[in-house]
Amino acid sequence: MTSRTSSWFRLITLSGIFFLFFTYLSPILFSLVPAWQRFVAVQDEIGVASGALYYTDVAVTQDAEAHVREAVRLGMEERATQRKAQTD
Amino acid sequence: MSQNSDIVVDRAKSQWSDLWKKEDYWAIWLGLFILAVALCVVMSNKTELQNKSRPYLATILQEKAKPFKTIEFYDAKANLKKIQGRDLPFLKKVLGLLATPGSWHSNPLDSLSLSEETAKAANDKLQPKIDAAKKASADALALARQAQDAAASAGYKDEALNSAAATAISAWQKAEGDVSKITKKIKKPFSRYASLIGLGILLGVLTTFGATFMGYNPVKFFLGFLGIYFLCVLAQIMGKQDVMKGWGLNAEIWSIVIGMLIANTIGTPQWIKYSAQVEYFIKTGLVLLGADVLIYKLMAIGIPGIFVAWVVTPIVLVTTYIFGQKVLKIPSPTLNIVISADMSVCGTSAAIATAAAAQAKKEELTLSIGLSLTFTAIMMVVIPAIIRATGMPEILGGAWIGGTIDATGAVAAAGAFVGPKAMQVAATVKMIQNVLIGVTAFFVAIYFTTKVHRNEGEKVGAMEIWHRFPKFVLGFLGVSIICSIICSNLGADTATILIENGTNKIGGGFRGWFFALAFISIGLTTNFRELSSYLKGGKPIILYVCGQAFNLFLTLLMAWFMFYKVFPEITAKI
Repeated sequence: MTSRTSSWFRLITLSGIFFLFFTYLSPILFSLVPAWQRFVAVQDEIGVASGALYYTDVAVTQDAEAHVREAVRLGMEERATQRKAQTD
Repeated sequence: MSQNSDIVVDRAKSQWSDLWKKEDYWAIWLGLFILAVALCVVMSNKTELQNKSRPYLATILQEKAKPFKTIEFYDAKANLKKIQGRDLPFLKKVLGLLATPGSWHSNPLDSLSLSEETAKAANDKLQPKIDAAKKASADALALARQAQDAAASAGYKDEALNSAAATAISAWQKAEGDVSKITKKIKKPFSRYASLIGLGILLGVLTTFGATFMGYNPVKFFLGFLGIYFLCVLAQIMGKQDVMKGWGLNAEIWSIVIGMLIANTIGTPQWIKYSAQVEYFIKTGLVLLGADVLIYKLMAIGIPGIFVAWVVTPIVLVTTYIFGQKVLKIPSPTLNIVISADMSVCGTSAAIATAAAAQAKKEELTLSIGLSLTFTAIMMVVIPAIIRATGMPEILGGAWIGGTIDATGAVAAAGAFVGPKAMQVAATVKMIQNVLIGVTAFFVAIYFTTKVHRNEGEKVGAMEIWHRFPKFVLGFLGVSIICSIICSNLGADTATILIENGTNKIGGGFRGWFFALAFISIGLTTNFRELSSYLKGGKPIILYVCGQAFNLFLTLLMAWFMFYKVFPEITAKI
């Protein structure tokens, strides 16, 4: 086999292995591990891909931020009220 | 008598022609061009969008005064969400062009098109569930309306009626959430063939335009670019296989894998290598990322969030770097800083920005991302398990997840695994860390320009610092500052509609593709033997593990202290 042929052979073999692993073997492994299934189900529920790089790629961040901002506002208002009550 | 070895070297080499000959500047021009076009479209429709949103904002303000969140409040919020800058006709078309392949299970071609018949067959199976969910929601709304009317007729002064109304409205919102979850599964027919071809030509023209001024042959560059783009689309398809989300493997990782497969088997053809300009693509992507680095996001979670994200992170970053230099004696400072930033800040996006700012080698970036990915896959399962097993409070667990797990998507997923409050806190803490990227890149660039990339005893003058400083960092920060100022002037609600859900959706779409192109180019120009030489002695792994262990400890301590000792009032309201 020439080196060029063996290079192509290696590329096709490795590509085939990757394809078979992720398309066929991985779902079988996945079906054997309930925690993993639950983890993927949670990602589907909230519409998140765990590989997302930045917060703008994660849709739930906007709602999460809005909720937390409101909680911070209410919490700081209560803190100010408590401090005022203590000093009075 | 010893010779004075303090040599001042001032070798200013910057020229005006750099503005149209250097890739740093072309990254800035391309990024600014894309964002400026999107911003012009959005701002020219500002009045129309503000007029549409005004009545809903007024309703929300009015209903907030009541003792519980009313049906009208939630209706107004839902209607406000439908007003988005990205739904403007021109932006919608561009977003359609930028669309990535869809998800698939066993047939990759399913990611490129879905026929009407197939979509209808899938949706017909779903229809009974949708109908049942909608009926449940309508029933819950009727009960909520009754309870709210009862509370209103008592002038909202009866605590029992108010509480009953709040509970009924919560149940209605949960039913609405179930409707939303199930309707998200509705399949729409699509075809990506035309849009992917169109996008390839558009990106090719944009990048070739800049490359021509930089001295590349435009025909050769364009043809080579198309080869890289084709591989990029292949990587996007691989990243959308539905089991990939279980592994946390995205298109960027597949880009590196596919590129390295080719480079280390048949070898990258010269005509493709000509256009594999890693830094050009990465820097353009980073300038576009600057638009998402909005400074006002820092205060999203108040002072507790600042301490967890902005006090712990720099401490861990600097400590890990010093540990790597002084204790482990890692030969490459650039590898050290990229791993340290990757682990302490926010994963791959921080690694990209830091690698470009420190002028690290591509192999160092690849290695760092590989380490981050491996440990993220482990931590996103193990950390939630620890939180649940120890009975840790959700909010503390969320802050811990947000401050330690690298990838933003993995953070949201791990947080959701613990609970809804944990997810909210985790996602917000990670968002604040994401904003840290700009500052990190700037200071890393300064440090490496003045201290690391210089000869022993050499004093670097101001002009030399300017000459060596990676200019794209200024574009990155400049875009961030401009967008932050625009958002501040618009106000939070209008900024969300116009900028976050308008301009930045375009910027984000282009950014994703530029990063994917950069990663393919990295893979195509990486020699596996060279990459594996960096792992000798296991020092990078030891650095990551030790740094992450310190990060886990310090983040947990700071989160507990800030959320439970200093600001328990905020924690109680989340």
